[in-house]
Amino acid sequence: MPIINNHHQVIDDDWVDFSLESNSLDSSSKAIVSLDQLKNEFEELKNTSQALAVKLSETDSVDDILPFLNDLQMVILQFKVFADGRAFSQSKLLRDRYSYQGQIRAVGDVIRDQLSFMQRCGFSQFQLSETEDVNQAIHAFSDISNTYQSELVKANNY
Amino acid sequence: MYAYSQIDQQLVDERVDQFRDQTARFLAGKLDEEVFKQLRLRNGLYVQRHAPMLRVAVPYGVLNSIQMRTLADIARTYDKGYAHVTTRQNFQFNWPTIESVPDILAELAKVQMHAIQTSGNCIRNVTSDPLAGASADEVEDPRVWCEIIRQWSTLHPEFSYLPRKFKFAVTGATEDRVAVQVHDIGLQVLRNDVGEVGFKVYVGGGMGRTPVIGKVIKEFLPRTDFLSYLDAILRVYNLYGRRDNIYKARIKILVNAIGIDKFRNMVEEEWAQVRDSELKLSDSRIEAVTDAFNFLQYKTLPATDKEHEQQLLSNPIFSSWYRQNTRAHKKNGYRIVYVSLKGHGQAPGDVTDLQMDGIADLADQYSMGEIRTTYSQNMVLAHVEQTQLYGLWRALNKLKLAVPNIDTVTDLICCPGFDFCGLANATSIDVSEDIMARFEKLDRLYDVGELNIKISGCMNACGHHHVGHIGLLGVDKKGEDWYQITLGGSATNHTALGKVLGPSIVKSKIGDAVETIIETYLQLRDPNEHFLKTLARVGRAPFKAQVYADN
Repeated sequence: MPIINNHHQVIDDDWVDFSLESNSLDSSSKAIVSLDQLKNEFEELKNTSQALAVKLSETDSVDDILPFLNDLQMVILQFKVFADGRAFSQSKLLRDRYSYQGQIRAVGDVIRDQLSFMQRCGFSQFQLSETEDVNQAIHAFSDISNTYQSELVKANNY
Repeated sequence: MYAYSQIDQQLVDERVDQFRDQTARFLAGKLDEEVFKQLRLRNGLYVQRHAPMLRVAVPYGVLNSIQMRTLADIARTYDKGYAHVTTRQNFQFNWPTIESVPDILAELAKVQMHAIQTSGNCIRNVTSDPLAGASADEVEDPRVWCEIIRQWSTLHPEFSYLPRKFKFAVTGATEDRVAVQVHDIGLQVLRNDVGEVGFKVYVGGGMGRTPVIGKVIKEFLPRTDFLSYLDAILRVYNLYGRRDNIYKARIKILVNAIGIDKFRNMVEEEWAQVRDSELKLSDSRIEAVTDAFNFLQYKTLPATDKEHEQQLLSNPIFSSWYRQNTRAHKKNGYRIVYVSLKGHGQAPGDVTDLQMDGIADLADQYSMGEIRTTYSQNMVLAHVEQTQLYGLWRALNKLKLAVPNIDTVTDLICCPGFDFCGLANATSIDVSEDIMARFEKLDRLYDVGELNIKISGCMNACGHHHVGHIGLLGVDKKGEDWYQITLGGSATNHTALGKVLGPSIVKSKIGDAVETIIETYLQLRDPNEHFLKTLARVGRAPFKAQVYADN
């Protein structure tokens, strides 16, 4: 499933998901971990990985990762079902409230029709759902050129 | 009325293109049905029992004559020559094809209309007082605030995929004509002790299978904090509203589950973080929106007119219509006119293409080109010079739109029911016709006086039966239509939920039951006593005894 960035380019994914048991950590890893792993094994994870990212579920509170935010290169937020909009608020809080400057990646049921909403809430990477055509998706960001709400994107260039 | 800026127009145009692409992908089999469902719902398109249904937004219930003619044209070209006005002041078309919807939306966009967020789990089109700007009991015109909500909520990146639908109602008057207390958020404009404009904020009201009256979350919200406070409520709801059960996902369930005090604390905590953000409304921003309305200019007219008074004296039918279907205007010499969409043989709220064209012409001739739609599924011409009333009445009569029955038994609210709706358990239109036929005689109608009946074909309660003085709820019993009766509901300043009278009643006997309730009221009431007062005094027992006398 291709990943596109906030400049609408397809990017390589060099992150490994260590929240899955089948993967094991080494010092060269860019490691994606769960919230529990982050809370329980933070020092060890920090020392044995090149970079850290956490994957939150829709029900997790972003407040829980505040102590670790400076050490997180990326926060992954999930759309298990595309119509579940909690990750929009999670991303917005990370950017607006906590001034998080790292990458925020959308994963799961990521459809082109929501890309612009995601970007406007502060997401910077988008792992498309397998049903999406990447060449068409990259054009969907500009479906609507003007918006009424204040723009994180324009203000902060995420 | 509000005139689109170039930004407003571009957004609506681009939304048409976006939806055209989404529709094309769906029709080509490239877009999953469930995905398309969510996308089309956010653009007002349902798939109903017989055909798709398109709900067109009428922001806060205000239209101009040009828009009305376009709606008439759409009814003629893409539908079967009629449309339906809903309790949320929108228009519904019941027979378009899915393929034609992008073209309909393009027609609407040409006259500054759209179907954005008229359905789906998002912030819906805002409703307001149909007499806004015209009635004398107003603190401030609520439409400016409705428009600020419209802009803020349209294609909102964070709040477009909420746990469930989200409905706002705003009133600026002391008399509530838009049922603010049965909305997810209800806003009442008021002034504090030092004359500053602000809002009383209700949250967590709603109909449906769990009817709840909204609770006051804020007694006085300063106008500068209007958007930041709404933003805080929506964020708390988006994060903590239930998503595991569609029937428990409305904000009313969240508020009831944790209690209004805890909910208020959560909102206040969130609000403290956003209060001084870019959501703060400056005076200049409020002024800019106000200016975009180009509010109407009135003539200076005498308060009374001899010829008009003579017409009232000499024509009892005109006089009945004047008494029943017109209301006082804030300006001398003007009158507010209700256009009744509750004529005999007409489904409540339905209006034909020719009637729509006619109303547009009359609006141009008599009411500065402006038309309102109402919570009670009627229309309003809000600025008619009293010297013109007689001519307007004659013209409305020709269009069968002058039935003098506003706020009476036959001015009933009714959802489309099983005849159209995919959710309904029972029909509602034929029940309304039965009741209307029983009270066709005006003497009888006026003897009963103000009494509203509200009918829903299922527990989703689109007909607002919970807040009808008499409410009827359609239920399906082994394939037969039965109706549960509630008494004592109200959607005014003293909002109340009706209480169930007894076991449900089969369709063939429901008209008799309603008539029995009204006859019982007539026997029991003190002179000029309102139905709700009589009910409060005598209780439900005598009504129950009469309705179920045969059993």
